[in-house]
Amino acid sequence: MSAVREDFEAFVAARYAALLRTAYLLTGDHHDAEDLLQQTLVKAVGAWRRIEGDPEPYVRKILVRQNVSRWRARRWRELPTDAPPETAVADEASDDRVALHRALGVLAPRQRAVIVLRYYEDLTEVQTAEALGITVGTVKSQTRDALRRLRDALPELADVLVSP
Amino acid sequence: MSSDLRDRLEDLAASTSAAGPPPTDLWDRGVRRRRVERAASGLLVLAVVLLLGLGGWGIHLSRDVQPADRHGTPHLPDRFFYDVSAWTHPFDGPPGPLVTVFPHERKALLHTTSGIVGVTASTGTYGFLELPDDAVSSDVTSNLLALSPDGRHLAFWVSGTPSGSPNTTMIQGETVTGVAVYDAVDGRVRESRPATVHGLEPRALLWADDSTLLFSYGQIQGRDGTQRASSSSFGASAVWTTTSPRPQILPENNFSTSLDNLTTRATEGEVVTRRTSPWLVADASDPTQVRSFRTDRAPDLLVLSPDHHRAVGVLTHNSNDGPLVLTRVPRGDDTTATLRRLTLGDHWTRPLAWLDNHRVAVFRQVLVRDPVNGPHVGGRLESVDLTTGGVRRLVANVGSHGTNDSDPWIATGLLGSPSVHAEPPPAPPDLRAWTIGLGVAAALTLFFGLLVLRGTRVRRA
Repeated sequence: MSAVREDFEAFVAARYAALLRTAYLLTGDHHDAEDLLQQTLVKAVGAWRRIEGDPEPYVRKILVRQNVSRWRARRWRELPTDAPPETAVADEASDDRVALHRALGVLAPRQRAVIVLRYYEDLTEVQTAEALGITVGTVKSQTRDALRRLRDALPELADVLVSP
Repeated sequence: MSSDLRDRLEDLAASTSAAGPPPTDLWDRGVRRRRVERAASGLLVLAVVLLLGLGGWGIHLSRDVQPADRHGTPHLPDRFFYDVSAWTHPFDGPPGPLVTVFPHERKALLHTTSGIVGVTASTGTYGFLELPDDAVSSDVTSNLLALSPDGRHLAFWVSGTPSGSPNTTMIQGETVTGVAVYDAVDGRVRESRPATVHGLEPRALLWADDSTLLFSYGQIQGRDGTQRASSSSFGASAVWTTTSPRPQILPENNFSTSLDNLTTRATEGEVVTRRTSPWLVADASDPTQVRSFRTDRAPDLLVLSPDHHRAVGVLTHNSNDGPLVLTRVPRGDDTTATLRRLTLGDHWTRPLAWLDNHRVAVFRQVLVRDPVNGPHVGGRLESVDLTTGGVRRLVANVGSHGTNDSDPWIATGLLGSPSVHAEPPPAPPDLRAWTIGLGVAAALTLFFGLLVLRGTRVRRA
């Protein structure tokens, strides 16, 4: 087995679960999250020699961009509905978790990605912009809009969901 | 800012189903995906290369030479270019009056033929004439073509199937069965196909004036491989005007049987020819009335002046050139005229035509020492003023097509047109080289594509 492949498989073993959690926040669905992550990692193989050493920013970049692409591709195949689908959450007892899941579901994929990267992955605005391939100004405006929509959906968090 | 949001996101993320171990085939799937991507890229490059090639080919094919202004003022180029590209474009429609024509190799993607290049009188544009496929253009003799003095009509022989066994040995693999006239202004082609058993042997093809064609042919006696295959008997001579649907066969007499391109010339309807002696003169519109006269010396041919009272010739004395001689043409029959040697130091090969009643266009054959193509026979066209003896160059280089007896196929009525500096015609790209180049490019693309795929497989192993 080549060293490059070993490095790749070591990365997958170490970071698969964490990346799957990010993918879940981006998609809102366990199966979609797994599909998205596997597509992302398969895609990263082609560039592994180049990104070897610090692959995570590149993998994250593929992850969020691939999610937007998947959403765009699906948009033309799926019938739009007014409300996000009812999705079972692992811990059904958690009302907060359900509420946040629904609130994230009303966000556009790029807004959702901005929220996930900024508040879950703790990326800076510059890093978020780079990951999404957009400008810092767009990150700011997308964050502002996303937080406004989350405030509307989660009034109990209105005090903390303020624009930076 | 929103630590609560962060906490809630972490809580939500942690709620995702406990995934099993990651799939073990991610690397293999990634390698396969990359291989497919590279193959697709290679095919894309190949497709782009092929599309570019096809586009280039399409552009090449669509770039026919536009027809010249058919009513434009005629000009005489100061030189002609015979080494044109075999890929020169054909005229897209009738080209208008032509100042000269010459046979030239014509290439297409899959075959090479012999074609006829025309040079337009109004713009000096070079292009292949779209003549019928059966036009005979491979046998370069003086009677292969005839361009009318005004450059509008081109006469040529056509091949076909005779009633008996064809003879293909007399005319370089073709069986001549008729004569055709191409109208360079309206593009029409008229044909005349006399009856023949084994084929015709061309003897004379010349214009008596702008609209009257004289032609003469022999009937080949035998089919290929027979003892009589290379002999012919007199067939007929005919006159064909551009307004007549069919040629008029001339009665067989010493005039009609003497017509050939070596000794026959015509000026504004009056024809002078001879077989041995004397000279025979007849009006092309009524060639039954034949006058004759003798000269005290014997030039190869005589060219009548526009008023038909005088004639010029060249006394070559069995060499390639000689002095210009002038004589008055006797009106009576069977008298002897004296040739007057013009007091000119120059020698020429043949007179071509009178420009007016005082100037004659003469052809001077020269040996061209071409460093690229080697020495070959060429020529110059000059104008000689019979009153002053002044010589002026008309066309710097005129092809004699390698034969000593062949006049250049020039519209003699246009020799007095204003002279213009001629530029070499454009040389279109070699379509075969393009095709081969594209093929090599495509093969290289495929080769490197396969190399990349193979390298990927090796690394994987």
